[in-house]
Amino acid sequence: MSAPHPDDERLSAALDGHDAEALAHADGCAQCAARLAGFQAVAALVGAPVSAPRADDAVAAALGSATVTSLRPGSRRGPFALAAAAMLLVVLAAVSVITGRDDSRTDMAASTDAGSGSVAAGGAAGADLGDQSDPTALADRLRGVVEPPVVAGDAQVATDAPNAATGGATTESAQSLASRRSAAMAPTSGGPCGLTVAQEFSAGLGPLVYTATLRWEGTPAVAVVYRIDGATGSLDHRVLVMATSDCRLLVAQTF
Amino acid sequence: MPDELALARRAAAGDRDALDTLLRSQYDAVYAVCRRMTGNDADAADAAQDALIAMARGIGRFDGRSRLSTWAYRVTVNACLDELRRRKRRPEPTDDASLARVADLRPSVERTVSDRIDVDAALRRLAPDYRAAVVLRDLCALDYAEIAEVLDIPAGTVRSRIARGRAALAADLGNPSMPDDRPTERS
Repeated sequence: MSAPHPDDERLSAALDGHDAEALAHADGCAQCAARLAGFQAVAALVGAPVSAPRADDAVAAALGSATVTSLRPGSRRGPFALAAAAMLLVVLAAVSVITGRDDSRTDMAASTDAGSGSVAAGGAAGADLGDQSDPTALADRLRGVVEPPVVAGDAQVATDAPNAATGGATTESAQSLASRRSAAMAPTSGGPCGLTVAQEFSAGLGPLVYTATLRWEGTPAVAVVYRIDGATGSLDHRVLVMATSDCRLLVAQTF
Repeated sequence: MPDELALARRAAAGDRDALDTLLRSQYDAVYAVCRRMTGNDADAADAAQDALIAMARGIGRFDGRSRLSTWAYRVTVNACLDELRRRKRRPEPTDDASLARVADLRPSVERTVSDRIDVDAALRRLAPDYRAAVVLRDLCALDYAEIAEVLDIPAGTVRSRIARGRAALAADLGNPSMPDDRPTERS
């Protein structure tokens, strides 16, 4: 009677160099050799190199996040430094709210006006998204704004204008809306973070379709939503949330 | 290791350049794990970003007892599992499309291309716990002890999950060289 075949766990371990006896068995057993070869094929497919996109966006978001975190209670700084940092954060936030709101009213007025159809259709009260801290929740909310349900009267706009987030009872063409919104955030418009977006985060992004103000984990911020160039699936928008004060990227989310 | 710890300590102390260097040093590996775990580029980018944010916020907790990469993998796997949980709340972005493309591509393009799409789909159908074990072993080349540390499970469980994961993937991929009627010492 021949030796029993090693089970899958032993053959898999043999592939990883952990079971010499099973490996030796497979050398003389066609069935086990075939099974081992199957494991090897799977391992090769899973282990095929993955080419990563540029790290800049993700690293920038992480650095921005660390900047915010370092000023939070619970960091490893001393109590006096912590208190000073907290006071600085309050002052910066207050200044940002005061100046940022003025800026946003000036710089994003066109965007807000142009987006009113979408906002109204999405049921939101305006272009301030309030306090946000969860990227998925933010994306869910924005999805309702930039991809409102198509209702009678909107169908023409929705189907004719793949590059714009429209909807609502507007008669303006979607292309025109997109153009106006893009102009609102174009670097030359002096939009609060338009230059930063154009220089650092625009790769692979299509037209700007929506902007809003919000507070991201307490930090006054602006959210800009782009369509993704060439996207064909359901994940075809990307929102960038940037601090109003210095345009550092706080979070980016695809939805 | 000492260099890693020094870099991590500088980053934890607020040295932005050190943190930038540290994050960039891990990014390719982080993204690769995310890509295999999530199965598509968009979710991988989101999970990788979440992982880097978690690393940036938690760098003060890295104590140098493990390799920096091992710690980064742990953070990354957790970010991927979070992303997968969130994804359950929205439609799969590419699953059906990928499968349809496989059917279209098989007769006309290199087998390796369809294999790549197949393995993405097969990985997505594999339970995340098994997926993580297989990815950490076959993509990241971690040994069983390191995987046990990353996943916080016993090494014996790692060995079992890798074997079951590979077997499930092989069956899902329809590997003709995988006879299933082979009596084993445990059957």
